[in-house]
Amino acid sequence: MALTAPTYPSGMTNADLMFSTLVDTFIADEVFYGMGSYTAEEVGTKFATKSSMATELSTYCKQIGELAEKPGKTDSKINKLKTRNYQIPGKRTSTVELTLNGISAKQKDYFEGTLFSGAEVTIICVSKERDRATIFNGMRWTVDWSGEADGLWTVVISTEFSGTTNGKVFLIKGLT
Amino acid sequence: MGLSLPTNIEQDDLLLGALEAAMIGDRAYFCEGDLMRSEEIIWFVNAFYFANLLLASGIFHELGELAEKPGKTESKINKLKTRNYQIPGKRTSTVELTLNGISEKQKDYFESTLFSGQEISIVLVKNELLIPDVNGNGRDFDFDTSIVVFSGLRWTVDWNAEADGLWSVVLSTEISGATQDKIEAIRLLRYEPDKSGNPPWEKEE
Repeated sequence: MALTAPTYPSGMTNADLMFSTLVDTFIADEVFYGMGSYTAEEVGTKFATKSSMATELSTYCKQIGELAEKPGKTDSKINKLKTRNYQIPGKRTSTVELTLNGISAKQKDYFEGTLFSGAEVTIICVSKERDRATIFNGMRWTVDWSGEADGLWTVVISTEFSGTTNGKVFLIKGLT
Repeated sequence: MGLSLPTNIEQDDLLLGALEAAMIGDRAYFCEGDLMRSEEIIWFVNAFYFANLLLASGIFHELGELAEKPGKTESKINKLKTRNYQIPGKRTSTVELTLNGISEKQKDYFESTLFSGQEISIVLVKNELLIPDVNGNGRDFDFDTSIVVFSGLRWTVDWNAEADGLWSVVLSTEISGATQDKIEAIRLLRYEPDKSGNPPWEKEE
C-alpha cells in the first residue's frame, strides 16, 4: 500500500504548520470585552490592522479591569475513546480562565448579574503593542471571586464549551 | 538448558553498540498511511534515501515546531499474577508529541477528521539527517542516521496556553499489543558515496 501526502482543508498548505506562521505565546496584557459574537469574516476585517482593531475596541468593547500577574490560561482537551487497538477522538472540551485583581460592590454585582453572567460575551486579549490578539468569541462566562486576609482580591471569569474551536477561538498576530 | 534467539537476532544485536541510546527528536514529519507496512519501506535503504523520502518525495510534510521537550513514549505491560509467578498481560503503549505555536488554520486542521482519528505516520529525525542536498550527490551528508517512526497510528490533539507562556499543541496516541512495526527506533545505514547499498542513481554514475 502506498502512503499519501496529508490532505489539508482548502486554503491551507504545509507552510501553515511552520513556526513562523504560528502564534508562539499567549499574550494578555490588556483584556477587552463586548456583548455578542463575530463571524469569521468580521474578525478578518475588524482585526486586519492595528487601527481597525483600535476602532473596534474603542467603539464596541470595554476594558475588563486590572489583570492579575498570571492573567489567564486556556486549554482544549479531547476525550480519548479507546478501542481494543486504538485511541480515537471523542468529545472536545475547551476552557478559558481569566483572573482579575481587585473587587468592588458594583463590579461584583455586575459580573454576578445576568447582564454579564450567562450572556453571550466576546473577550479579546491583546498585547501592549496591539500587534497580537486572541479572541474568545461569543462565549457564556461564569464568575467566581475570592480573597484572603493580606492578599489580593481575585475575580476569576471562566467558561467551558464543547466541540471544535473553529469560529470560537481566533488567533491573530503581526498586525501593523 | 540453552537459549534460542529469534532467527533474525544475534548476540551483538543486544549490545549497546547496536542499540539506540537516546530518543532523538529535532524535527517531525508526517504523512497519511502506515509507513512501516507501505511500499515506501524501500526508502529505508540508507540515510540518504530516507532524507529523499522526507524532503523530496512529496509524501511527507513537516509537522511544525517541536517543543523544547518534544516527545515521550512508553510501553507498559499489564502484569498478571498467579500465586507464584508474574506473567505478561496486555501491552499498552502511548506516544505524546508537543509542538509550540498555534494558529487557526493549524488548530482547525488538527481538530478536524482530516487529521484526528486518521491513520497517520510520524517520523522524528535529527537536524543532521536533513543536511544533505537530497537532489545532489549527497557528498556533504552528515552521517547521523537515527530516526524514530510512529507508523500508522491514530492521533488525538489537545492544546493549551497560559498567559506569557508558549502555546502548546499536544498530539497523543495509544495502542495495544506488540509494538513491532508500530513504534520503532531505527538506525539507518550510513550513506557512503560509491559504496554498495547506495541509491541506484549513485551506482550508475
